[in-house]
Amino acid sequence: MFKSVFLRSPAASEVLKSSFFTNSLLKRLASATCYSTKNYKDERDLTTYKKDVKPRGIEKNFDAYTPSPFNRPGPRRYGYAIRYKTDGLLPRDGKPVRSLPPYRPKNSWDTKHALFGQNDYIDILGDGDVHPADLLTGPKWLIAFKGNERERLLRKMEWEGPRLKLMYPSEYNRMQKRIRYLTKLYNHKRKSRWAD
Amino acid sequence: MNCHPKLYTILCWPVGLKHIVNNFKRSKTVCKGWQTWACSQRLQSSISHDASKIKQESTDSTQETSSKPVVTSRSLKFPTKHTYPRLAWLESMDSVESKKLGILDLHPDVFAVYPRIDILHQNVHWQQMYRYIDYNFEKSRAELRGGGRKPWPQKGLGKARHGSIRSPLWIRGAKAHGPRGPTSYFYVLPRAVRGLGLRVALSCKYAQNDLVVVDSFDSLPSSDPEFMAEMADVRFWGYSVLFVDDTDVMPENIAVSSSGNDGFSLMPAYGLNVYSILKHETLVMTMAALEKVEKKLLEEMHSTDRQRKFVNTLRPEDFYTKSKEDNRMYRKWTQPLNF
Repeated sequence: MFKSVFLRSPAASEVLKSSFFTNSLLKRLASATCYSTKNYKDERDLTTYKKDVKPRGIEKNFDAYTPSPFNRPGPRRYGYAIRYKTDGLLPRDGKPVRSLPPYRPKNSWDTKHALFGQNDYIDILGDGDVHPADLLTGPKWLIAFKGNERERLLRKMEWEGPRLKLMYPSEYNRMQKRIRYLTKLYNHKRKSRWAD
Repeated sequence: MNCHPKLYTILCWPVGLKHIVNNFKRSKTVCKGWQTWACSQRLQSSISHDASKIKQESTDSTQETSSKPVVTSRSLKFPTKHTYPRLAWLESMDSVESKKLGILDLHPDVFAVYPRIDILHQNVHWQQMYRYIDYNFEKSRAELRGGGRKPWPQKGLGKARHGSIRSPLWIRGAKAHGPRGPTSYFYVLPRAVRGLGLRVALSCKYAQNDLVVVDSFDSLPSSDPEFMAEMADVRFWGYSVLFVDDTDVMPENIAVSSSGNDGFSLMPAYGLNVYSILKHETLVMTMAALEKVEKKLLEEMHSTDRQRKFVNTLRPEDFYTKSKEDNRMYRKWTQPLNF
């Protein structure tokens, strides 16, 4: 398209004469899209087939290629494939990213989310015999309890210690070891009584 | 009231006018004369109304012919002198377009408190955090496998000194100060703050014209979700509506139709909370639910007993399903395992 505007060959001019309207339009386009400082009118050479270069800024493809009016010698650039993208991040083309978990958007109107917070004010709005802390779920030794790691471990040991000792002895040992370490740390940072 | 009643009405006229305009926005079939009369009546006598007088007047002036009696008054507990009761339409659910069944007084201490955004934030944050348990866990350098041997001698190699391959400096080493085990973020927001949060949330809904009071949910004629969606569309309720009733057991029609629509939720009055009020665009309450919520909030506001600190009294014994057996009479070698 762009080439035909600049062509001076008789064949091209005939083509252009046939449609005067498109001609004027194309000329306008060409004047608007003249990207380089070079004056194309002064360049008179026969190698018109090389001029199918589209203006910069538009991606190259062969749809815009206008075949030359002259016979072209042989197959050019035989066996050479144009690689449009040679650097940067390559497009994934739908291949999933394996290191990421699959994208699962949450539905904010399913039962869990739509009714979030229900009964949180039941001690004010209800009959007064239920507290929102009574309705919490989770590990029994942890609900309605806030403490640091040592306090949490001690409470877990108190609640589940005998069971863990029998059924999960390595977990029990791990907890004991951690409590020992944290207690040492805790006592180290405490202010001790002055010793004479 | 110290001044002449006529003068008082004139003095308070801007307030009344604003109020009428506010109510005018919601109503489509407004009988202007009656409403202005009702408003000025409310301004003059702050809370107590002569119901029979109003009823008489309303039957004279209203063109609405409804089979139900027109509600015009409500007795408010804990009356206030510093402000006037707010007004809300009582609407019906029996048709797509809203029908006005009357006008209600709302207690200004519940529906017209200052919009404290900070209180709302405290409440929402509490609701999100007090139940949250973080299960993330990262092993310490003592719990990772290996790492007991010194990887290379302290001196003589020209390399940095290291004592363990599980040091946090190493790749595949432990994480220093990582998340440890299930952590609870439980805390209790003071009762007064929570009560205030509910009042602020209701006030915001009222001020933004998003509070709708209906007589009951029984009168909904259809269980079709489309009907409910159309109703919300016609009445400008938005995409999400929270229906609050007095009881746990809801009428079948509203249960079916709201379960078919995303964003339409049902809740009993005791389940009302700040997060849900803010999450849904419109709050639709039955009159019974309104009275219950208002009563509870006012009681909470005016109660004189000190808030007792929340103490977790849960013990492992509370969760035992079987009572503990008395095994003291058995010999040691026949004793069953207790855990």
